[in-house]
Amino acid sequence: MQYLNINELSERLIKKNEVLRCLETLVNEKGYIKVEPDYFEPYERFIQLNKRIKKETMVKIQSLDGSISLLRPDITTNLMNLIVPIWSKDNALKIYYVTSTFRQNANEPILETKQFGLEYLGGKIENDREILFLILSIFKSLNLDFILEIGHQKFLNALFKSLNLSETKEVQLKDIINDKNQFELNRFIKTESITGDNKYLLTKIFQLEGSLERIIEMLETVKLNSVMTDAINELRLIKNYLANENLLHAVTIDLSSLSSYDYYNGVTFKGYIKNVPFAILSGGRYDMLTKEFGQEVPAIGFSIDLNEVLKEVL
Amino acid sequence: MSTNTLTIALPKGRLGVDALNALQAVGYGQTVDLQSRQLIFYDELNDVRYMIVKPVDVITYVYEGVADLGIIGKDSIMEEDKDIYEILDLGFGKCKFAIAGYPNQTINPKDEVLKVASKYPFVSQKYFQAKEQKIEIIKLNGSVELAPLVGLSDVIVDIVETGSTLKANGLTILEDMFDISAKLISNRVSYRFKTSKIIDLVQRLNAYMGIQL
Repeated sequence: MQYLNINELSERLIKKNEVLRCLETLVNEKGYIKVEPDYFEPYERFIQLNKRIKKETMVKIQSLDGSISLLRPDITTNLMNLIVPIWSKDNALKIYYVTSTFRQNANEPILETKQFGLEYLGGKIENDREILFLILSIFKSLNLDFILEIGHQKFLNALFKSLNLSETKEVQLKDIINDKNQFELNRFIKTESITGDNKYLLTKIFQLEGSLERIIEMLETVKLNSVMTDAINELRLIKNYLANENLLHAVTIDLSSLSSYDYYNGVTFKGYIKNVPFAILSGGRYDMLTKEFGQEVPAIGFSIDLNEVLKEVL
Repeated sequence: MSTNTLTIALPKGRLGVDALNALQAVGYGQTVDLQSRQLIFYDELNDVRYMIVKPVDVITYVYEGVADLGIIGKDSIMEEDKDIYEILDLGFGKCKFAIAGYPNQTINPKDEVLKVASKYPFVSQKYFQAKEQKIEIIKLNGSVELAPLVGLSDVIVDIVETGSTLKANGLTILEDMFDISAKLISNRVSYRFKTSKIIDLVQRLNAYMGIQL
């Protein structure tokens, strides 16, 4: 096996820096400022906020007084701790980071993932468009075959709420939806005796994807509650914006799209590129998370797995 | 072969035969010959490539994305616990996860550590953890029934179809755990890039199984 020699290494580093500079320039132009997030995250709070996260994959550190911290598994939660307590209304803050997250699998060393991400706090729902524009510009500039999956957590949350499930059952249902497991879903609907419009929505949830027109057509026969209608209307605004900017071709809407983090409560994103077997981009609107830190602040953001993207680009 | 070619991982052995029968019944995989030693087949008609792999590896191939789809038993899916889509139940390969041991054995001593032999350490660990039963796992790769007979373990956790192997060795099912059948699984990214091809296959298989029932 041939290892990189010192000349090749410097060439690679130069290229890498170029790619990073290109990303940073894109977000700097829109007014984003670089931050250095904290490395540690209180364990208890993190698992309270994210009930479906696999606890065994997180890297724990015990301090001398016995309290347990995590080597940050995610940046967003971390930044909220910094910003929300000192937030004052009617402000806007645009920040970005180039840094690492950590996790661990059984019998494997700690895995460090380099991430590039940004957060837009304050402002209005129209910020969704700026974020979308940035995502699509980034992947255009990287010249990668890219698909962006857009979901809406408000829609799913409204559906979950009207089902009135226990916490355990809700986690179970989310796992089923996350696996696109129609067989278990049908079984769940039966054992929980779900009926009427809720039954229709759940049964068809994996088909509520593709173009927004198709989804709306499928929803014609059910009566949506006001929160669900809100979600669809927000998606419609997004779709119209993307159509105007001629960016629709790289986008799929998927109403069953679920993040492994429970804190999203608006539009959500997952980005895929060919040759990488998992989402290399994830994000969305997470106003509700900020509430856990003291006050509700409108917030949206995303992060990109730099390890995988750089591997594809270089 | 194109960038849009669908790759399906099929398990070697009986499950693979059932899987191929279902695929062929809906017009796929006519070129696949499981008797030959060839490991890769190409079906030009549907632009699908098949890889014949060891059953326990099907999930790895799909999770890593070298195969877009795979056909595999729920037992392997549960043991591997990987982030994949489980898009269709195929109805064949039916059996169940069960705890087996000597007849009339008490399996919940709670305060004592139960010795469990299994090919499925992860499933066993999770199951007994939920029941708050402390266990010690003895990982075996085959002939698990032997373990209680020679005193290697108190009980075994294994998949049981007819129960005849258990019976022949004087063992019996002590507790049913989960139902198992064959599933069509998909890589999460392939599902996005090859949606229409995947949905098309799913619909055909669905229609075929509807007739079977």
